[in-house]
Formats: sequence, C-alpha cells, structure tokens
Amino acid sequence: MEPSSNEVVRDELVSGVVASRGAGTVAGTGTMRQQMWRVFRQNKLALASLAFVVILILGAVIYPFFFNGLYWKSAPIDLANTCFNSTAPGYTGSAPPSAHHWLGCIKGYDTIGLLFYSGRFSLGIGFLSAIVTMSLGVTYGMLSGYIGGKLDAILMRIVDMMLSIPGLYLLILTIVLFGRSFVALTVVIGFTGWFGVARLMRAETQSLRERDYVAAAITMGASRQRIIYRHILPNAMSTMVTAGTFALGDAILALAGIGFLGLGLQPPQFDWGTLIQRGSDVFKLGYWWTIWPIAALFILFVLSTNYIGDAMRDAFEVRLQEQ
Amino acid sequence: MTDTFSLMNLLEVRNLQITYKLRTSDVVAVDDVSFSIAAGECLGVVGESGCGKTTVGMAIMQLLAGNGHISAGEILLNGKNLVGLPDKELRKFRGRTVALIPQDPMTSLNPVMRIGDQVVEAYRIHHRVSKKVAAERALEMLRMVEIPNAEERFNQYPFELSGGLRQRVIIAMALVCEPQLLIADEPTTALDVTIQAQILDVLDNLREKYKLAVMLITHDMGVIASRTDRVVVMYAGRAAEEASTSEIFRDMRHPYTRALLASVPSIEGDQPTRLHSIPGLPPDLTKPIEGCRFRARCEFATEECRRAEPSLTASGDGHRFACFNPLSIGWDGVRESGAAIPIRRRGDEILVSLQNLTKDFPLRAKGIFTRERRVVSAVSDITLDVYRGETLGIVGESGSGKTTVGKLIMGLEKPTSGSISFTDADPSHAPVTQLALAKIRQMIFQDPYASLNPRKRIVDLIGEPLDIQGTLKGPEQTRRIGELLDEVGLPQESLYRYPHELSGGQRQRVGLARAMALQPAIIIADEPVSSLDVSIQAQMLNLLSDLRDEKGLSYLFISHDLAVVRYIADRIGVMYLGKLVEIGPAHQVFTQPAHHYTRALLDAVPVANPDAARGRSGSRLGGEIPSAIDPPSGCRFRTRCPAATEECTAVEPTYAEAGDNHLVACHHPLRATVAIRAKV
Amino acid sequence: MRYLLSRLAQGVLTLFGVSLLTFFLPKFFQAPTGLAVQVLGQRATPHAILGFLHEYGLDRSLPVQYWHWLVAALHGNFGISYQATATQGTPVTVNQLIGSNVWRSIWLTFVPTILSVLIAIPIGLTQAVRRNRPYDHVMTTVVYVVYSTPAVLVCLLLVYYFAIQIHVGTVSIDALAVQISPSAFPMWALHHLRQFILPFVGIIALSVGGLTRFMRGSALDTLVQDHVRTARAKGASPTRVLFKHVLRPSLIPMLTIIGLSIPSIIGGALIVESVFNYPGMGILAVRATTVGDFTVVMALTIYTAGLTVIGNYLADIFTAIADPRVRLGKGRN
Repeated sequence: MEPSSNEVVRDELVSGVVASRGAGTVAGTGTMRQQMWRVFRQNKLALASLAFVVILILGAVIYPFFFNGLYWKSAPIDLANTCFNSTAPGYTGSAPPSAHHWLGCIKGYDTIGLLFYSGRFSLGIGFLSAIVTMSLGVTYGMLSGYIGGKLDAILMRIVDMMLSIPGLYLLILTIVLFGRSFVALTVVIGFTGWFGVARLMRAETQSLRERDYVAAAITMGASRQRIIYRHILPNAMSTMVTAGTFALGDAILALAGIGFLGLGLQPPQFDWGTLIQRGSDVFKLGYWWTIWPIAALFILFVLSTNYIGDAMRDAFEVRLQEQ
Repeated sequence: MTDTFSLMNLLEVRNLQITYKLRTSDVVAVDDVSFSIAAGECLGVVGESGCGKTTVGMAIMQLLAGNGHISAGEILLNGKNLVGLPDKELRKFRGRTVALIPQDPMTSLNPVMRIGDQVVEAYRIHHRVSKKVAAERALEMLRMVEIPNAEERFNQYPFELSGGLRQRVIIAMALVCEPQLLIADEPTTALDVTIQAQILDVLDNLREKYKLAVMLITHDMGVIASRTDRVVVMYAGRAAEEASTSEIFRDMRHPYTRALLASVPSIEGDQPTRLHSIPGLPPDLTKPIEGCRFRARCEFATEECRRAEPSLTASGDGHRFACFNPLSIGWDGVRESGAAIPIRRRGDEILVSLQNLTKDFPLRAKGIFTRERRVVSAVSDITLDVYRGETLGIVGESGSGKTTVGKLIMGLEKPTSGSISFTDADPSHAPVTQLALAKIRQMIFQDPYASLNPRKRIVDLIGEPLDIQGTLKGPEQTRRIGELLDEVGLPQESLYRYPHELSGGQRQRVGLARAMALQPAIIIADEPVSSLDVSIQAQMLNLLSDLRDEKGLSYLFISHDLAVVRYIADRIGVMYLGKLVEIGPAHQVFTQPAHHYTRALLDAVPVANPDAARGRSGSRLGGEIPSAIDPPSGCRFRTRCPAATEECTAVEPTYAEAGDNHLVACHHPLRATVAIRAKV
Repeated sequence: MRYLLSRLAQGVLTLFGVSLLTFFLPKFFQAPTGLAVQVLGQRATPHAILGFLHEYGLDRSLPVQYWHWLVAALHGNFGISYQATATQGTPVTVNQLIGSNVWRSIWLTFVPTILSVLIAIPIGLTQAVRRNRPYDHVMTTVVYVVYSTPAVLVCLLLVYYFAIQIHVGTVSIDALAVQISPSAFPMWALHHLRQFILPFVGIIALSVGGLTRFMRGSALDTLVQDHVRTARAKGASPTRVLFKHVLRPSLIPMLTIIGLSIPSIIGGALIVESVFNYPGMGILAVRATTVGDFTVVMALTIYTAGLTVIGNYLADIFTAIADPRVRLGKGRN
C-alpha cells in the first residue's frame, strides 16, 4: 500500500510514546542481555509474534525445497484434485481449503506454497530495504542533530521537501527510472523511505546531546566519535528499534502497493502484492479463499513486527527505569 | 480518641493506609497514619522523599494517582468520612472546602487558558453566578495575592508569567471559594529563596484573613520552624513523631527527628558545625519490614526494635512519637553535638584565574525576517581567582549566571570576552585542549540521573576518563577504579552494576569518583546536593569536605542554597543577574554582609529554629529578578534595592574593599569600605 | 505573525526544492534526443529532431531550460506531454491531460480526511482516559489492524462484502465523472454519494489508524500533566476536565500531524483510485510514470507537494490560533 503510510504520523508518535513512558518493572540483576530478555519474555504477545515471524522466515527459505515438480507448485501433484485437474467441470484453478491444500489453491497453485514462495521476496526486500532505510536515516539524522547549526537547517529543509512528496509517487517515479529487479526495488524502497527516520533520529540526537553525561564526556576530552558511538547511539536504541520495525512494515506495505499497481517484481518472481492482484479478480466472484489467506498473513505479519518492536523497546527502556 | 474530640477538628485522619499497585507487587506507601487539623491551624508534614507525605495530601483531596487507593482508614472532614464517597460527592468538597496548592507552578496551570479564566472557572464550579460577577471576584483574588497590574495579568497566559507569579495565581485559584482547609504540597520548593519568602508571606496573611487551616507539606525544616503551629514527622510511610512546632524543636523524642535536624546545614551561628549524617537509605517499601522501620539507620536501636514496630504513643500535650527508646533533646543540643569546623586559611597560590569573563547568549532569531540581534547577558565582566586548596562557593538565584560561570570554566561554553587561565596548564601546548585540561579540572553535576550514561556499568563510567586519557589500562585501571570506589564510600560490588540499580546518593558518589579519577586540582560542583534528601545531602557534603582535606582539592561550589554553601565554602561569591556583587571569606559574608542583595538573601532563608525564625525582621526583597535581555543600567540590583539612588541608575558600581579580602560592588554598602581596587 | 511569515517562507522554499528535484531527476535518465525520437518516431530525420529540440527549447542548457520551465509553471503552464503528443500526433499540453483530475483528487481526499480526524479524536481521547482497560486494549488492536492492513486489501474487501454482497456503495465510480467540471463536481458527487461511500471508507481506513494512535498518545501526555490535577482539585467534573483541560492541549500537536500526514493520504488515495477506477491524480500519475511521460509526473508532483505545503500551512495557522505560546511569539521551536 502506501510506502510511507502515515510515516510522519507515527514518527511523531514514536517519539511521543518513548517520551511518555513511565516507570514500570524493575529488571533485577544479571547482564544487560539477560535483563532485556527477561523483560521481553514477559510480553506473551511479543513471544507469539516472534514465533510467527520465525516460522514465516523459515518457511520462506525452506518450504519450496520440500516439494516435487516445479518449485512453486508446492503441493504434491494430485490430478484428481480440483486444483490441478483442468478438465474437471467448473475448473478455475482455485479451490477452497481442503485436507490436501489447507488454505486452498489459487490459479492452480497451493496457497501455502504461494505465500511462502512470495514471502521470500516480500520479506527479503522488506528486511534489506529496512536496513538501507535505517542506515541512511540514522546517519543523516544523527549528523544533522549532532552538528546542528547551518548544516542542520539545510539538511532538514531537504527532508521537509522529500516528505512533502507522497512516498508512493516518489517510489513509482524512481522504479520507472531504476527498474524492477529485486536489487533495484530494495534500493529504491530503501532510498525513498528514510526521511521520516532521519527526522526522528535528529530530534533524538538533539535531546541526547544536551544530557549531562555528554557534557561530562566532553569535559573529559572525549572525541566526537566517542561521544556518538558510546553515549548517543546506545541511548537512541529504543527509538531506533521502534523506527526499524515501522520501517520494515512500511517497506513490505510499499512493496505490496507497487505490486498491486503492476510495478512490482516480474514473473517468475512475485511478492505478496502481486498475489493480491492475482487473487483480486476472482475474489469478486466470491472466491473468498483467494484473498483471505494473504490478507490474514499480511495483517498478522505487520501486527507481529509491531508487537515485537514494542516489547524490544520496553526491554531497552527497562534499564532507564528508576527503582 | 473520642467523637467529641473529632468534632473540634476540621480534618481528622484515622489509621490511613494507602496502597499502590505496581506491575509485580503492592506497595503500602502510607501505613496507619492518624492526625488532625483544627480550624485555622497550620500543620506541617515533614519528611524525606518517599516518606508518603505527598500521598497523604493527595488522599485527602482524593486525587491519588490511578494505581493508588486507600486500603484502610478514614478521612473525616467536618465529621464526614470522605473515603469511599462517589466522585460526584467529592467534587463538592474539592475546591470549596479543601483546596490544593501543588508543587510546581510552571506546570500546574492550563497552558492554553488565560489565568483570569482559570480563577473564574474555580469560582463558577461552585457558585452559580454570571461570568462578570465571577471575573470581579477573580480579579479581587488576584489583587489579594499581590499580583502587580492584576487587571492586565487577568488576560495573560501562564507562559507570560514568572514562576512566582504563577504560584500566586494558583493560590488565588485555590482560595477563590474561601475553603476551610488548604493543602500546600511543597508550595515553594521550585521557587527561589526570595520569592519563597514572598509566597509564604502571602499565604500567612491570607491564612489569618480567612481563618484558614493549612496542611503544609515540605521537606524544609526551616519552613516548618517559621510557619507551622504543629508538625508531623513522617518516615517511610508512617508518622514518627507529632508535636507542636515549638515543642518539637525544644524537646524532640524520636531519633529520626533528631537525625533529620542534625543533617540540615544552617546559616545561623558564627561557625558551621559538622553535620550529622544518617547512614544508609530508607527501607524498600516493596519488601516486608521487620520491627521499627528506622531501626537499620538508628544508633539507639535495641533488640526490642527488631521484634515489634513501635506505635505512636502520647506523652502529654499532644506530643506523640513512635519509639521504644525515645530521646529528649532540644535544637540547641542537636547543634552543639556536632564539632565546629575550623575556619581554613586560604593558600596563596592561584589555581584558576577569571579575567573580565563575559558571556552573552544570542537570542535565537525566529525565521529569516528577524534581523535584530538581541542577547541575554548571562555573565558580565567577572574577575576572580580560585586559590589552590580552597573552596569557593558561588551563590545566587536562578538567572544569576552561576551555572554559566561553571560551564565557562569547564569549557562547555565559550566566553564572549575575557579569559580563563589555569596555572597548571602547560603553556607550551597552546591552545590548551579539553583533553589536557581534563587532568586539571573536572565537574560534578546536579542531576544524578542525567549525569551518568544509563547504558554503562559503573566500572565503565568511572573508567571512561582513564580510557580517554589512555593513562591506565587493564588490571591497573580496574585497581584504580576499586580505590576510587573506596574513597567515595561505595561497595566494591557496585562495580558491575548499572546506574539505575543505585540510589540517587550513590549515583552522585559515582559522579564524584569519575571526577576524581584523573586527580584534578579543582572540581566544579554545580548544585551537587540539591536533588538529594537532607540525610543523603549531609553524607555527600561530609564526603566532599573530607576528600578536600585529604587530597588538597579545590572546589568551585555552585549552589542556590546558602546554608549548604556556608557549610562547605571558605570564600563565597554572590552573583546577581550576571554580576559578581560581593565576594569574601564565608564567615564575613554571612555574619556581616556588605551588599544589600546578600543581606536580603540571608533574610529570606527560612531558619530551622522557631524562636529565631519568628523573631526575624520582615524586611523582604520585593519584586522579581529582571530579564537578562535588557538588564537595568548602572547597578543591576537597583530595581529591587532598598538603598537605590540616582547614582545607582547612572553609574555601575566598582569593587570596594569591605574587609580583609572582602569586596563589594555597591555605591551604598552596608559596611564601611576602605579602598577601591580594580582587581579582586 | 512573524512565526506564520517564516513558516510561509519555509513552504515556498520547500516547493522550490521539489521543483528542482522533479525537473532535474528525469533529465539524468532521458536525453533530449530520446524525447524527440519518442515524439517524432524512429524514422525522424536529424533535421526534424533538431527542429523539435529548438521548438521546445530542449537545445539550451539545463539551467536555462529550468528557468523557462519555472516561469511557465508559475503561470500554471507545465508544458506539453511528449507521450500524448507522440500518440495523438498534435501537441497535447500537460494541463489538458491533467484536466480536473487534481480537483477530483482533492474532493476524494479532503472529505474523508476530515471524517478521519473526527473519528480519531474521540476514540483516541476515550482510549487515553480508559488507559489499559479492556476498551483501550480492544481499540488499540483494532487500530493496529486497520493501520497494518494494506489499502488494497481494505478496498477489495469493501467492494466484495459491501458493494457486491449487500449493495452498499458501488464497485467503481461512474465513468461520467470525468466529464463533470470542477465547479459542478461537489454537487454531482453529492447526488451520487452512494458511489463515494466505499472510496471514502477506504481513505478513512488508511488514515484513521495513525491519527487515533497519535491522539491517544497526545491525550495521555496531557492527562498526566499537573494542570489536569489542578483542574480536578478545583472540583471540576470529569467531563469538564476532559473538554476544557485535556482536549485542547492534546489537539495542538494533532494539528501539526494532520498537516504532515497529507502526503501519505494523497499517496494512499492512489490505490483507492485505481481500485475504484476514480479519475484522479493517482491514476494519472501511475499511467504517466509507466509510459515515461515525465512532464506530467513533474506537474503532478508539484501539485501534491503544493497541497502538502498548503495543508501544513493551514495547520500552522490553526496551531497559532489554538496555542497562545505560538501566537504570542514564544514560538515552539
């Protein structure tokens, strides 16, 4: 859908949420990682989400190898089954869920297989472009926020400018210019999505820069790199985690949007957006199983990343909480 | 307690217990607290943070935070129990019978509503009158709390008012319905000492006028001594002692009361005496407490104190205390118990020299159409020397520029003009870098929460200056960090802890250890004890002075608290609106101030001595500190000075000698001055 | 006033930057001769190509071209669409092509955005008041789901379950919509409101989630502030506290957010337009982009950026009205 779906809204939101966090549980003792894991574990929803995402990733990597025939015809070939028997009366290639095909078939292919196969591309592009987004946004925002002054003013005007163009417009424009391969899409989605992150990180850096512990480091003669790497970056982690989960969700939604518009990957590669587009025409005929599995997957995935992000942020924040 | 007794009292709190629900456990924040307030009486509730004093106040208002509730007890207001009443009933009391003055005037007013309307609203909630009538009443109230130009202020927004004026607005709002009881929760803690005195005076006058009962919640024994009739001392959720104010200062029975008073530095007397500090920390209320809750920190604890929790018992005259081994000691006895601190001779070697130091902050231009270049004059033409081994205290109210002086010396701000030179700095390595100066000067900060990176362990925090300098590495570094922990009195186990696992006082010790790691010649301490409770503050002050004597350290000790500066400093500089108005030996400045401002500051400090406090003259410094954007011409203090003349408007006073090493910048000093010198 | 002037200057600067970007970015990918070939065909003579380049000023240096384009654009003239010119044989201007699509897009996005805000405010506020109670948890999940569902899916589900199954709304917008003039369009739309129900719901769905979450956060921030306790201490009723002391301070940051979320709403509207076959900017943008008709893309980008700048500026004005700290010169930044 929209690449930067309400991007600004929740960038502001993220900082608001982080800022308004009150004191919660006290972590007790142990190493930093143990404490964080203990907090994360308390959030059962996040644990379930983590399991779901892990299954999805594993499935995307492994599933296609398990089946014979064409690698994306993932179900065992069963000619009597309505999914494949094109001579059967009323053949459409689509079938509701059955014992053989738990989520049914779409255009002759098992839905689970399709979901996992397309997941390879959706998740792959999603994760990689989120990494691009985060590295660009964090670097740019920190630079702008830490150095400040004229440079900051110029850098932020550029971000304002980019944020005034709808992300999806920018995306389709750049896709036309750069192409539609896996790599091109990753780069393009990554490069068009980082402006909000930059703005957020700039605000975070500006606030961290004024902390007393940074002043203390300056008086000790600490170098700029030391201050950024040892004092600002670690304390911006919880903000970055939240921004990162949103970046991932947004990238996958963006990919789906352009996939639906027919600007996504080209066969035989396809992503969740393409799948929605394929299913959409027969869905209108009442074939609910062509859309619902992908819709459910989508919603569950984005929800999961959000819940994981929330729990991770809690885990990072816990050490800041007073006893 | 009989019912006839309760009929006499406006407010009667019986066996109050308040529980907060936390995510994992319940905390009984207030346990079995009983007291009463008679009509027109001022009851002080005193204690350190976390003792439950604010919680009791909020419980009476029935405005506890969402996770807190009254789990037992009664709150009788005019004989009617407020506990368990539906909100609709309670609303009739709030604002009308009981009113609240919250702690922080900066955040307690609605930022988008005119102040007049906020007072009007308070009146109209309880009175069915037209807006016009209510507005007249509100204006009357604003005048009553002595807000200058009340008509004009009526239509202003909170952000256009200073903290002192906002607190006046809040008082007007609280009293507009003429309530019977006022709950004042640290009403002046956020304000400067001269403003605090003004606000407390306003409250006193109105209390008399309306026969108002006041519950004054505070941590400041000085405020208690000068303003209250009776006092309840709270410790860890329980009342430790209750008595009339004069009685408690004359004959305190609970060891905690004594310890609390003994740990407060005073501006009285010729010479400060060593503070008694209470060891340890208040108990963790999330865990069960065996026996007396003060036992662990009490020097008189016996086996009996372990077995049972003492209950509040009366000993005539309504003096009640909860202790098995009560003392009987007066305020004078408390003070005499501490050893007098000898006056130290200052050395002759100059360590840091400030020459005509000036700092202007440009006002941020808003947008591209602004061309005016206005500046805030934060520090103006300050010349002074800090000698090796001495402690120079800098006092002043907020906006005086004292913090900026500290930052300038630390290199955290660049001076607009003037210079700072360090005797120890190697002149062959000009320009001198932060890295090099770090070995000469270090800093400790006010906020123990903000000054330590929350994601680093104590070992890394204290080791950071050593890492940066690259002087000590590996096991040698760890050994040095261990030594430092010993020096500041932290257990070795804290080495691998994170700051959030330590208390505020412990964190401040970490800050001190970090500052001492490089063995600097001078430590700039900017309000290092202001955020600590008095008992912890005393520990820290004693630690600072012991280290100084041991290591021959110099301190530049910046504070708004005159008593604290008096306690630690050898020399004192008084700042007002960016200017150094007086500087001299501590005992001289305190006993014979030469500048009218210094005198006014000293007069405004509440003294923890009911006799002295009530006997003091009412000469109050009026008005508020002017804006530093366009400071007054001539003497910057002239707008508030009782002795100001035309000369003060026209000519800026130069320094005159008012005694041995004692300089004052005033045309009409309080002491005879001798010679006029250019240099301090 | 100074605050608003400087904001205005910032907006103009932003638009200028956007124009630079949209002008120069495609130039790096499309040589002028390529354009000429695109319009005149593969068999065009070098002479004809040179003539074409000269006619449209493409033989001049890029800064000069940009200057001419900028001056024309300021007069509302965005040049010709090379692609349409090529297919139709006669010069077709960008303005002809865009026609009233921009106005139709504004209509499509404006009304549901207002509705979104009107839905988000009470939900966010009540959630904040009942923080961590079942109502809050349920609404948070609902908001999460709405937020994380792609607009495409929302629209498809709406079409099937409403338009097809129970005949609420229509599957697509009447093709006649193209012929209605911008001034007559709102009336026409009112008469054909049934067609707009589902597209409106689609746009609400894509914007309401973020706004609700923000409103909840903003209200939570206000609720814990001391002045709310002061109001309660006065004896104010919960309703009074909520409306007089919580709502207004929480709305001030909301205004900025509404302004800032305009680009993402316009972007999302693209999907809604393509599902319902609505003749707006989005459909045009996709079509122009896919065939490489960059002059049209440039014009559309400028239009959307312009809408954003105007939206942000309106938000600034409302903020100045609502927040005395901004209005009376103590600007918040």
